[in-house]
Amino acid sequence: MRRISVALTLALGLSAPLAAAADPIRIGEINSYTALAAFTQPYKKGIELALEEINRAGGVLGRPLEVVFRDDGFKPADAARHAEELVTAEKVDLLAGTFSSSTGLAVADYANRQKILFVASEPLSDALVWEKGSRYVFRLRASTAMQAEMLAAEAATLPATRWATVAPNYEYGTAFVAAFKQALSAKRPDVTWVGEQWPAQGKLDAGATVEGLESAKPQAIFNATFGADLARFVKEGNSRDLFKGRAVVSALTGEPEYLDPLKDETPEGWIVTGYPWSQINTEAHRIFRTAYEGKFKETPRLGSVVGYTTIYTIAAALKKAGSTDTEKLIAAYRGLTFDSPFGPAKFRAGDHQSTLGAFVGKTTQKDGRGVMVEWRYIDGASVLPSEDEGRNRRPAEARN
Amino acid sequence: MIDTLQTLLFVLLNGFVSGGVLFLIASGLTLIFGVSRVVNFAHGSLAMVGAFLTYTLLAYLPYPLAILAAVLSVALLGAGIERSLIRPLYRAPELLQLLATFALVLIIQDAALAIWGPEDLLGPRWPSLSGSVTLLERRYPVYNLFLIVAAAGVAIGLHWLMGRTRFGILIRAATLDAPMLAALGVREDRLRTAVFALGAGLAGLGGALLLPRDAAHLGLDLTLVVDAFVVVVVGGLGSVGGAFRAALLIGLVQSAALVIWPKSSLVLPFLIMALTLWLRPQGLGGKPPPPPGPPPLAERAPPLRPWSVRQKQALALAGIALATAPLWLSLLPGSPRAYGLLLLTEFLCLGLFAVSLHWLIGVGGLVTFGQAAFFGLGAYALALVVPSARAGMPEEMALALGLLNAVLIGGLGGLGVGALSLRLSGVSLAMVSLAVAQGLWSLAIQAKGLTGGDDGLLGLSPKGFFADRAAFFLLVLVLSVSIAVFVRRLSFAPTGAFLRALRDHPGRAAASGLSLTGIKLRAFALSGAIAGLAGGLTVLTRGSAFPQLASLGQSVDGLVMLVLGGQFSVIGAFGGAALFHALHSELIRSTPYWRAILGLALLALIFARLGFRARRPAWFGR
Repeated sequence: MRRISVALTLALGLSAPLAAAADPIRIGEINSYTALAAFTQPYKKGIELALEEINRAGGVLGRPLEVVFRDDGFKPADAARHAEELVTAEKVDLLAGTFSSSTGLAVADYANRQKILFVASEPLSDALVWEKGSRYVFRLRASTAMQAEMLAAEAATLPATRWATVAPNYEYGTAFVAAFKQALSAKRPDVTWVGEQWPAQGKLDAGATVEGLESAKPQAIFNATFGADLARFVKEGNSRDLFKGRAVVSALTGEPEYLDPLKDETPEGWIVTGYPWSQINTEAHRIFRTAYEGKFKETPRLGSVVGYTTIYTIAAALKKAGSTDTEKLIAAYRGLTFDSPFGPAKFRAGDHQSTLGAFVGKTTQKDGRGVMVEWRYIDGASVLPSEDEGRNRRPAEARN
Repeated sequence: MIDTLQTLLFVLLNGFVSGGVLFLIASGLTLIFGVSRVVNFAHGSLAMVGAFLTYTLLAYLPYPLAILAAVLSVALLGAGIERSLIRPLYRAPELLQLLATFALVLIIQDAALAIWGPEDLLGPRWPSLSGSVTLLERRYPVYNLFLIVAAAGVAIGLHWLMGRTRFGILIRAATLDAPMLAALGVREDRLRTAVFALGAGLAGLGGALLLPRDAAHLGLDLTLVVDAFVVVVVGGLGSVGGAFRAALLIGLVQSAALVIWPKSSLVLPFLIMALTLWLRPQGLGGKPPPPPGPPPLAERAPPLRPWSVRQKQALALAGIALATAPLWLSLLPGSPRAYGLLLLTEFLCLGLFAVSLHWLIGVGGLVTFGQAAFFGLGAYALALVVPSARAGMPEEMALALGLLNAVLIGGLGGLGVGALSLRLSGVSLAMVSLAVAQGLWSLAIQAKGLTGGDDGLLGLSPKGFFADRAAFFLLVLVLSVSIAVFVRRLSFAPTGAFLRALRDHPGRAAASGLSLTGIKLRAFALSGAIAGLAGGLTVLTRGSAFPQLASLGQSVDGLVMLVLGGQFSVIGAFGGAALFHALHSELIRSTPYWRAILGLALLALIFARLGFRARRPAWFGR
């Protein structure tokens, strides 16, 4: 009844003021808001900005968007439990979010079981769209395979042939190292892998990790640790000259959430993926940055972009589907083109991976702070296998 | 050759560094325990506060002064905590002591979250110690060498304090025989406050010294306190010298193992602990415990009475209400049937878990802080069997096999822990069980090939008939009711009577010819089996198994339920589980500060219970 009356008022051209009174479209958003605050707090702000903009413009389908937030504490079991609570008690129309690859896979497992749409914003694991792909799951961020491909292209130009790796010992880390090894070995068959370190996420023992890498005597190091682990690793490595005379290729380190805390420890010349927020001068980014800084009085981080874009893709999909029905939303998400502060991108129909790219550059210090230099934006589509190949990596039931 | 020498030297140095840091934290814990017999769970929290305070003070002061100020503030905080919260607990049962200090952990954690925010605060380097030196052609940070010196300095200082000063002699006297010391006219209360402040200061120092090479973050508290527990258990409870040797041993072994087998880092300390307990149960520097006497008056359990007719009627009504839940839930407004059934199923699993604790703690007086070990064992036992069983047999058979395995493995785990702690009781038992559980938890994280590590095992929801939430709920209901009735009846049977004798007066029980070891082993086995079943059912409810199921949080949740509902009855276990689950589910939906609220509620409850007991001693009379 209510929806019919809303439709009527819409038809009468009274949409904006009355639409706010309509039932909101509810999005259940699960993330590690306390355990990885450096990324997820800006992410939450990005969401709030997007919500404000969309709802001010009258919402979607004449209904405002509403996000119900849940903190998973970086624990997959809690994430899946929140997902169930959001769907059965809060009656959300779709799920979104998650930071770590393991929480992402846990929520994806639930979404697949309950046949509800899950827009995975940040988890990077390749398995999420490929080996454990599901028709109910779409992923926004450039995956481990994509970023590994970007980094390997740079790494292949280095003279180093003896490589060692260090990455956290869970899905994200193992996937990243595997993808990077494969990509670099394909470009440079002369590379040998002489050592690997697998610290437990959040519990990196800096002394031992540096010791392990040092004793392998590599010419170059691939790093995928981030957050507090990265800071500890860099600090200990700096004081023990681990990085002197060695090339380092490092995933995510250029993201301000992980680069800013390093301050005067920021190593020189690491090849990284990241987000040089202060130097991007495209129109789309300028608009986003002005709005964000105006609302929150702080500079954006990558999390801000991911949160903001996630909500905009959901709004775009809802508009395209004309409904909150899961099947219609899946159809809408497949091939959905959307705008982001990084420029236009789309969700591939074949494997549900978006083509949102990433920035690759080098780290340096300016006034005691880390910044990215010599960076360029690499379109996600250019580092992805063909859609058919992506589709073929998915389980049979996820392909239709 | 130079390679071997290099490796050897750096393994030694790294071992000294981590051993030194361990000792700084553990020495305070063991001192406090020696004098006041209280295991301070919040010890790691004090160290965390030390790190955070130093970070804040560094904005105004240079490093040495900032650390000094932080250490003094933490010592003062410790004294305040002792005077207000710990003092009323000295004569309380161990369970309440441990839970009260754990409530403090929750409160301090949320206070730190409110004050310092959720981000990791990376400490700046200590300017005069920021360089590195060349040793055998390799660079080594000066600060690490400083840490070794600092830890050695603290060790020597403590050695001097304990051996050469009046204060130290009093501490040793209080550790050996506190009542005698009090009888000689020493103000025991002041001594305890002073020692607590000293211990807290040491913890603060440990935390502050971490900062130049690490970050201050909210996860420090539990990491540090659990590591310190292991050191204290290996070293012998209350022995500073033992703690020193244990810290060094663990640091060196860990550092050496990391070069050989990098993925063993988390599990190793617990292996060392298990080995020590097996060979030398009192720890490296501890004395064998005195023969068990009767527990103090405050811990006496009420006599076990059969249910009255009225109670039976109420229970039957509750049973009927639960059994018909799938029907009436859908009649409620907002159709909360799916979520309601989930909540009720989870409640029953938690209730079973609480029953397993009730059997050990309420009936057996065996205070364990590591019940999650059995819960986790059961969870993985099921999770590892069901997927392969599904391939060869009908779904219902596979589930039954998985649950059977959960019971079996949980029971075996119970036997193992029972065997490991045969000669222990009270606080020692609590700490050992906690350390075992933490060891299994670490194993679940690091044995990635078997357990999936942090990624867990997915796809474990029941299929077929029990895929329906209502059907599964009824299955769990039938199982938990039958086990509750079984445990209740067993309490009256000889097995239960023997166990209660062990609880009420081990000395007399032994004199009557009862085999204490046999009774204890059986109690642990049954408790482990029930907890294992609860773990298995939880996996089926959630559809996944993660290391979290074996975590300290899980153990503590169970204890909180038991204290909420009352540890001496099966009904109390389920009542506590219901109350806890309702509170917990609602709190985490509505506030980020649910830990502090839970902690405050817990403290209020504990103090209410203590007051209650003080007023009504007749209830627990001889």
